[in-house]
Amino acid sequence: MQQVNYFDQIPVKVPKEMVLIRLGRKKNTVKIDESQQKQLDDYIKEGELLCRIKGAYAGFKVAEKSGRQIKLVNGIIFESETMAEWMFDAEEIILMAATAGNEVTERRDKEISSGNATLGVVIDAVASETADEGLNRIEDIINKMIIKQGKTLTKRYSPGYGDLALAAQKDIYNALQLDIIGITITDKFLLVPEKSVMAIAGVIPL
Amino acid sequence: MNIDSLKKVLKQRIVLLDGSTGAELQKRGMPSGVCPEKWALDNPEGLIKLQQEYIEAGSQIILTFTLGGTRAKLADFGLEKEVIRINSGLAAISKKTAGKNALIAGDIGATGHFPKPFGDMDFTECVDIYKEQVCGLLKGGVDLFLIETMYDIQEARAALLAVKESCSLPVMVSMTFDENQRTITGTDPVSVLITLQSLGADFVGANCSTGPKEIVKVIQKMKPYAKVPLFAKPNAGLPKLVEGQTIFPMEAKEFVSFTKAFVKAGVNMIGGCCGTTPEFISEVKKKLKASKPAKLKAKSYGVLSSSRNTAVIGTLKSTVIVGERINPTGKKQLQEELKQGKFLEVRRYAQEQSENGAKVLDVNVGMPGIDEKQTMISAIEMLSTTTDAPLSVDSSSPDVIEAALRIYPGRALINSISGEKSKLKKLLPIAAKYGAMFILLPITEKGVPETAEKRIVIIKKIFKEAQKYGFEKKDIVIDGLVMTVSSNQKAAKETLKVIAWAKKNGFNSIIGLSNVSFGLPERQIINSTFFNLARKKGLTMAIANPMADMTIKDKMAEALLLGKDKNAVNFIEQFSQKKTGSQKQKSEASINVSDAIFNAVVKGNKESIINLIDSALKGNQKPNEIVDKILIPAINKVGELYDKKEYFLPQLIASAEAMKAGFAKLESLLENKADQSKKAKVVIATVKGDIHDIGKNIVVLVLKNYGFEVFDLGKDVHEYVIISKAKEVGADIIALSALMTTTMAEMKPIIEKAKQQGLKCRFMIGGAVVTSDFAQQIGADGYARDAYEAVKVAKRLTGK
Repeated sequence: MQQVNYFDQIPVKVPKEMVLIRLGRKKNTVKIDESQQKQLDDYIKEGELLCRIKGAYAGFKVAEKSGRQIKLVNGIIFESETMAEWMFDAEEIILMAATAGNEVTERRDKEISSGNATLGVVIDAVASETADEGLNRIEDIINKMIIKQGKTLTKRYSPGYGDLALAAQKDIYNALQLDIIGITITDKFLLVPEKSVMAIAGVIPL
Repeated sequence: MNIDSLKKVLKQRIVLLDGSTGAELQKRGMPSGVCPEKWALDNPEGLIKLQQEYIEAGSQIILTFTLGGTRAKLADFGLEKEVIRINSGLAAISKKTAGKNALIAGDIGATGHFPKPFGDMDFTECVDIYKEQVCGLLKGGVDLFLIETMYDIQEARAALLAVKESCSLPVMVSMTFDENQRTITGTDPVSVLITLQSLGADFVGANCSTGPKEIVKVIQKMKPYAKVPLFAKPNAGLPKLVEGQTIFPMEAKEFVSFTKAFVKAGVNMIGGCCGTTPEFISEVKKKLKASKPAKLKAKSYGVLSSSRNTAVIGTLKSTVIVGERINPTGKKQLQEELKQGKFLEVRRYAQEQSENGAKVLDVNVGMPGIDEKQTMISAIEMLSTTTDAPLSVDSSSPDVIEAALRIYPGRALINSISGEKSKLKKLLPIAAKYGAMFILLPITEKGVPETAEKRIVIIKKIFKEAQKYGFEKKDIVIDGLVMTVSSNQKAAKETLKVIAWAKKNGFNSIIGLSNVSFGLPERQIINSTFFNLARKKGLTMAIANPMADMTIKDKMAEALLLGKDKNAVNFIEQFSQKKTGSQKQKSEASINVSDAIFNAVVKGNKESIINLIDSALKGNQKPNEIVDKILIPAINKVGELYDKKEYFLPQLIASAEAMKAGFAKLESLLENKADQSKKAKVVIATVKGDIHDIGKNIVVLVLKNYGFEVFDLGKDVHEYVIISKAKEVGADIIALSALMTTTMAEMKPIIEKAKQQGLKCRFMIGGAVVTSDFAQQIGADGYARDAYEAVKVAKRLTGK
């Protein structure tokens, strides 16, 4: 069985700019007063407190590749022209995942149903961006380890985007045994906790 | 050469280490894909020749070829049961090769897994893995150990503890840094140094990384705080992958050009890592000639570290605030959480205190009904990844303190060690083993001495004992012992005498600030004044509530007056907001109630709107007028601001919630309640198989605010339920939400079946993956990108 590396608590700074963009802020036109800004800042901090980022990654050698698919040595086939193009030079593929945990979405739902939807919406955005930031950190760690071999990662690609079917999440889920970090997957390939993300990247020469 | 002679040499010359072994053996024929250690053991000729060449080139310390010799790494090749044989065999080969010409360092590398709190490997398991390798290397006869190419400070600690708990041989520890001089897990050079040297590393350094240029910077940062010799083993720059081979393009001449810089930065030992060869070492030796190593000149003050930061404590620096709030005493919510194994409040206190100036956080989880040791471990693990501030471990149990120190990835402060014999006997060795600083509490079994003189007697006794374990004055923080002046008017003066004595005698000092005013009114004034008096006497630390304004106000005023707050930016930002706030409140009071209600909706102030509406009603304003002439225009104004992108989602929702609160207050008072039946009806749901509903929930809120009657069916809703409800209520609109490509497909069948069953309603869809094109394709009447657009579409579809 391929060795999977798990992270129990990834230290992540909330990417505040990305949170604000996700909430629809347009820098050039926004006009809110100090108290509205302070409320926003406080809510973002609250969201940060609720996120506990766990993650996992593993590398798999490429068994076969064509212009339309990449097959790994463990039998997983990713059918995607875009991905095959991006990762054409890769001899190894990294599968990775990160989750912000249950606590933040439970709190979000509680706040929305009890009349503080503003807080709920903000911590939802914080959780989404922080989970993504967890993937950024995992990528960063891998890049720093493989740079000594003259290698780097390609841009990452995720199931459900472009021409890579969402069903690929199931393959990644199984390969990384994500139940170990508390993630489950529905029959519609949705990840639970909701703020969980997966990605694929290729290892290529620097 | 032996260790004693090495130490003598180190005082006079810079010692030469070896260069790359693995990469060099690959160039010389070691096949790729094999276990390097096993291959070298079975084919030692190449290794022997290479190590002989390094010795001839001038290397005074040679590494065993065991970088991947742990059970975890050998398991990749099915060799996990051969740890002792492989490590001892390779150590013996190097030992024989070196003879008396060089020392042999047992080489220990990363396991490929990260221990907790960052990774998932149990810390004890990690230490055990390293102990096994250490055992093999000792059997092979190594002279010292080199733990290298460590990515994570916690893993480096595990390896260091494994060596220290197995033998008394010297140990070198080096980590690898990126181009920003941080390790992979974010530790800076000073934190690395402080943590490792206090834990007992005899030499600390940096290796591998991106090349000599960056490692010079790492050494420069470490040197001012180094109490141990420093070493460097850089790569020959960044490698390139050429036809499947890793090539290091930097040549010996360029590598050697950094030698002077390393000497100036303060290295005591130098070698090379990946890409370097015996030629590199030979050239470095020539360049070094008779270079003398820089002397150790660590400044004399105490330093604590976390995995990502340090806190310097000493009379030259400003008083360090230790945040006291992580303590369950008197905090019901925190107590409840700790009983449930939750740590949200702990994180909150950590965040708030750090933001308000605490440089160190005291962690106390002592309370009945919980396993204090396990709770402390969990709290320390969690705080290690969520805060940069170093921690103070606060417990009356030596077991709890020891457990915390073992897993803390930094240099902690122990709160505290007193003169009670049994505790002193237990805690000093623990503090020494883990290199912690400690708060010295001058009390004994006889209780708290009233006078400074009696306290000083105890301090001297404890320090004498502590010196036996290697403690120096700056490792100790003397607690002045603050007692309340409400019961003893001399209490404060006695504490101040102890602080003055501590300063005079070269110790750090600390006080538990709030104790002085216990039982008195205006505590903050007393605390603040006492804080200032103590600082004048030389106080270096204070345990306090950083959110108590007075302490922070004093520090900020001092910074301003001493020119440390450029252009008074921080002071103005901190205090002018409060002034503006009170001014704003005054100005709000002066505008009329109607405008205030309007503003409350526009500003999303749901807290004040109820009172404002009450005032309006008392002023004989009619409920219908308030709705029609104030609330509705206000929410429309919000819509305009949203359209102009002056507002974005949080403001839209805050206003909607304020509107909702105001409308709820007035609803029962409105005339023409029959008009309510004329509201357009919307049945809304997230489709079957989809569990995302936040977007849908916001649409519900906003639609209600704009006068729609909304029937929210929730998430993962079967088409049958949606269609039945629409029939039941006579829906004007069915609104569907889906967030995934796999669930959006559920929308079309719902629309088709509803139409087949004769429903005349309109259909509106939304969700992250949905588009207006998709809406057209499936026969929907409208698509809404966000909540506000949903209102516009709903109005268009219903004509209302």
